[in-house]
Amino acid sequence: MANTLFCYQKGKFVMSEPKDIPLRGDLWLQPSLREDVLERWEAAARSQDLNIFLNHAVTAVEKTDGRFQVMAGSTIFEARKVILAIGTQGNPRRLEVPGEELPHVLSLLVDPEKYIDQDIMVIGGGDSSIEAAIAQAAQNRVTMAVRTPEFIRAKESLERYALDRAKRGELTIHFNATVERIEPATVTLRLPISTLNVTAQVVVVKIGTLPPRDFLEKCGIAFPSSEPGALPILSTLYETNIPGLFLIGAVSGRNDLIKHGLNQGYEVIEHISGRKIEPAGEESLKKRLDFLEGTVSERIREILPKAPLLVAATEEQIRELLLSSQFHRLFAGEVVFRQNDYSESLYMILEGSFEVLVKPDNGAEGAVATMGAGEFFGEMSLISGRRRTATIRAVSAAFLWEVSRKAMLKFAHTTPPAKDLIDRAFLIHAFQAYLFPNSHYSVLARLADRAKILKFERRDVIVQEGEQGDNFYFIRSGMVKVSRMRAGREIVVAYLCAGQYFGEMSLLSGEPRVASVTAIDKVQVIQLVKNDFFDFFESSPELKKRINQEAERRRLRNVEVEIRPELAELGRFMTGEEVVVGDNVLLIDESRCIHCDNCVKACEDVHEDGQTRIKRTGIKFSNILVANSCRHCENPLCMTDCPPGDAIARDPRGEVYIRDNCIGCGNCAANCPYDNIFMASVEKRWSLLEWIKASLGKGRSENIVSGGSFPVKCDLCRGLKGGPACVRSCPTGAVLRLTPGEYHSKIESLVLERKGTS
Amino acid sequence: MLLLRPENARWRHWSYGIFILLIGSYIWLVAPEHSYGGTSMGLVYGTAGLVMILFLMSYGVRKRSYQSSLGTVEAWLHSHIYIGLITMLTILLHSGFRFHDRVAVAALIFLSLVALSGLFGAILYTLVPPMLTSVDSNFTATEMSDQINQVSQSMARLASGKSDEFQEIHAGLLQAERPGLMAGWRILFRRYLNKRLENRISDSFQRYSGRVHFEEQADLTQLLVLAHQRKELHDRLIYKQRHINIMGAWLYVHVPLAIVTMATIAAHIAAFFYYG
Repeated sequence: MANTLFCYQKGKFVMSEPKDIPLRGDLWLQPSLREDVLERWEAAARSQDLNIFLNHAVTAVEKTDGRFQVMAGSTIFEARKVILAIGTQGNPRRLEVPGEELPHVLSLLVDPEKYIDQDIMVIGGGDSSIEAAIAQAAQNRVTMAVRTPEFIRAKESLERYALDRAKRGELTIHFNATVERIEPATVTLRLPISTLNVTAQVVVVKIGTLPPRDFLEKCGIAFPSSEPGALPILSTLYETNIPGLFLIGAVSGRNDLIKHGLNQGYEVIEHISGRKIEPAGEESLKKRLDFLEGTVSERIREILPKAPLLVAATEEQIRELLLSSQFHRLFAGEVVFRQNDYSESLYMILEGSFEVLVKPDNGAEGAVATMGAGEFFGEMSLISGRRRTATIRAVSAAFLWEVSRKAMLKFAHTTPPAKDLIDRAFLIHAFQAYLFPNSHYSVLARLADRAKILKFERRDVIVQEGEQGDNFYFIRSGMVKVSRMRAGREIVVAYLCAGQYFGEMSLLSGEPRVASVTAIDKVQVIQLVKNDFFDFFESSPELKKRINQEAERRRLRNVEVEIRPELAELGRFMTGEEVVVGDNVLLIDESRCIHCDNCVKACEDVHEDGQTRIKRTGIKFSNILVANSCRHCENPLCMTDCPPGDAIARDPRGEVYIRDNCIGCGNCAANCPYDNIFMASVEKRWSLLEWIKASLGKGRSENIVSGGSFPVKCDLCRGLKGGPACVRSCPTGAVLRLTPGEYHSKIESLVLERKGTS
Repeated sequence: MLLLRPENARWRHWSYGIFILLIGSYIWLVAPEHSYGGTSMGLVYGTAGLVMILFLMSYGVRKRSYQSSLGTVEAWLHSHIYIGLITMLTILLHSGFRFHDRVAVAALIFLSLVALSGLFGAILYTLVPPMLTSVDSNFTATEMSDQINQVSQSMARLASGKSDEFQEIHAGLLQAERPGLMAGWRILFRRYLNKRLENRISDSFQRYSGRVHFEEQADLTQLLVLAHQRKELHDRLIYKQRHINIMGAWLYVHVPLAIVTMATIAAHIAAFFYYG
């Protein structure tokens, strides 16, 4: 039973997302270990005395004279209603190679600790294959065979983890590898120019699963098209085109999370039993739309015309968006968010108007645009994940619909018309904010029509030194490094982030590119071809002046870096070690550090758990130590894979912190590529009063944890006046916490000071 | 120099101003024949000096008040140093440059020693950290100790099951680096040794090879290589720890002297009120 969970690896955390939807029925589900959930479910099944027939694989479902016959091997079950909750995990894809049927070839790896000191081959390049490989790597010799040139489908955090382990020799990965045959003790791989026999006593095949479409079509279930991704045609209560036959869970193609599946089952049973049932979350949605009357569907129909961005959305998608939405009424003059705030929601204007205010680095704040009902804003931070690029203020009384970043990105990903609208708005607002602040909307719209959005992966070269420049680029998200090759060595001249541009120098001078631009992490850029760039460049004297000035500054910078090799080394260090992607990095100037450990003691003292969040170890450059402490990255990988969903969060000022609903699964610590989150056995320090209460039998505070381990990470001393205690407690000023704007000035001046060349 | 850093300019300028103010006030307001602690101006200087000394003592409290947002510890340290120097002048002006009273003179001497030890500490804080950076390591002292232990375990595994002579050599190699009583203090006076790896191993091999059987020669070489790695790690750890200890050892003089100074000042004030 519960095959999905049964097939999870031992010790894996089960999530109970989405938290905004109530769980219906009596079955228990909370974020916890796989074993806990299975135990409770099995106990529940026993207590209900269910008729369960295990090892009876259903091969067909037929309806005759109003009754269903369910064929399972030699047994035929009869029923008036049939609910298929077969998931998609039961049909793993096959390799179709000799030896695939051998007993040591597995598609499931439930207990990672079963194998010790074995040669294990893991075939596949997705999340589950990487997880399987990593789980075995500590105690075995593990080889991965990946068909593609790199990990394409895997989550970034897992990809980094695997590549890091491979670099350390703990894992072997063969890319562009196809399995030719499997034998009892070896696997033959075909590589681009050779064949390789790899020793393997265990082979784990994780190449994905097939949706059970053949089986469903055999049952008579209709699909709208022959496209592989097409979903079965279902009613709002999950009934197929065959009355009495229902599909729920992952196989329905709708909302494939565990909680959704449980709720769908509940709703179908209630419906079959003749009880009227509203969709899960109905009450919650009514509360959110409490300014309207009627059913949720009626309220959605009423509000939809005011939000053109959602015109292509289905009601189900809007319901999902609403669960991650808030509505705000504002009066004139009220600020929605300020420039440089860390917030990522998208806002749709239902009523009223707003002005967009931008304060340049060396200038006064000024309005660059106004927006009215039907428009939306916030898409720039939504896409780039960076701080807000402008302040938005209500000009009149207004009404806003706010949707969280995660929900909006998911919606845009599955709804191309909405994605196009968001992308176009991004282009127009980006040009307006950074390049043409006083241009008319129609001009910007024309420019947006000609621009192209390009995506690059980590380490992709966007522009190559020496090639002829034909394009201008504006960075939409991510970070790039600008470098030159001199005598076989890379000299990193600069790093650029979202909101900045490159490629203009070659266009202006007509000379070949003077530097290469390479993606440091995943990057999206807006590309303008030469003719379009010059059209607008010539039409705006202010822009022309600004770009020329910046080009001149960059030329001087190139020269400066070439004559000061220590700056080039520093640039290489900052980008190579990814220090630049941190939003607030802890540095220790070792030429001032007297090793008094006051920083560590301060950190321990100001946190209730008494654990330090910093270690005076890490990577070094010119006696500047990048200490092991959270860097509050722009794109925090630690925030992916959080079972409660928001136990690790970021506040508007940018601090990434751990909340009280953390369950200690350790995913954040495992995902941090810099080992800056530490798992510690944590117990809250008791005050004298708490001790007295405890000894009088008054019980312990809920926040005290005894036993177990929890992640601890720097939270920049949230809530503490004066900022980070480590910085304030250093007697010699050796401890620094720097933001990206300060890296250049502060670190470069320290490096040059060391060389006596400031 | 800690005191001469650009970020301390503000403190320096204020200190110069206060120095000039104090000296100016002494010249302008104090008649030479009435220059001693019991006069009005003497008492003013004395009271000011006492307040400054109490402020100086509070640095230790602020340094350990990690949740306090009352300025940074760095600012407190700089003010501690500059106010310490100003205090010396203030107390001298309080004395009127007359040194009759034994208790008062004792307090002044102890205060001077505290100030001098403090200056010495400021010099150490300036000179020692850059010297430490020459020991190029990404590891803390604890991690270096762990590495030494791992090498020791490898040596023990190598020596296990060998002849008595081999065991003796092994024991001798470990004994040489064993920290003794009050090792933390003794390393303050130890020189950092820096001999070339190749010479040491070959010297050692020549010394020991005659003592073990032929079959154990290869393992002996390996043992000596490990012993030298251990010695090198050990020397680096000692060098690192020595400098860290130097930066801490001076406080064992500065703080007790400060306490004694407070005691003598208290006695001086008590004597003043008792005897008038």
